Amino acid sequence: MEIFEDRDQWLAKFREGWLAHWQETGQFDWKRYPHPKNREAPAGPGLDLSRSRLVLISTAGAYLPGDGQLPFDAPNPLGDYTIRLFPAATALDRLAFAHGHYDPTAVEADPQVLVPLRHLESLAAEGVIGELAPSVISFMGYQPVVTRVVDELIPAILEATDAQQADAALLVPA
Amino acid sequence: MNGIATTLTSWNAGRTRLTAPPRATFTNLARGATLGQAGNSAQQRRVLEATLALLAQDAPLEPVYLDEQSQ
Repeated sequence: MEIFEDRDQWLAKFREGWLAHWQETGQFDWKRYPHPKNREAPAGPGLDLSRSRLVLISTAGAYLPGDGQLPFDAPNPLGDYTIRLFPAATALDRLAFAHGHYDPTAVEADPQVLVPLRHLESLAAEGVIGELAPSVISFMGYQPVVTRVVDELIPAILEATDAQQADAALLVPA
Repeated sequence: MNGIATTLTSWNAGRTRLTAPPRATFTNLARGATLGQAGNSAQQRRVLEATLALLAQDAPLEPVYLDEQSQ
């Protein structure tokens, strides 16, 4: 199956509509934005989570400034397609968030609204989850160029999930 | 590319449905607080557990709507 159906048609609409308007005016017109659509959902077997390694994937723009990680390029009108990895054991008060497309009030008051590491640890301790993958995969979910998501972001995520030998993924969008 | 078993939760059922995710829960929670209200650990756990529970089932699944509100 295709990760992104009708890719070429989407790209043509995106270039002729939203992108051309932004390049001409410097303004975002989301009515011109072609939201990606798939007809076929990925198929695959279920698993026993209590015997599995789960990786958390977050779009909240979380990063670890204390470890020298650079923030995501939140002001970039065309998005940021890179990832950051940080340990699942990270103290939540060490995280910073660079996104710019959601109100950060809740996540700054309680990071578990988007990065539920302590809850996941509890679920692992209770035996609901076999174990957590050692690193969280983090990116900034403002990514209007969907072809770049497919060509740049998803391969980086798959490399990180493979390296951690994760069996399952929990995606928490912001 | 080979994938792994994936589940997600979203406050934006309309847009998320368009992408045809393999497993998903949908809520009426707020953008920027996907798992629940700040400080409401019980709500966050409910959303998390319901979303993780979907991993036991073969995909694709019909999305599951959770009665979780932002206020």
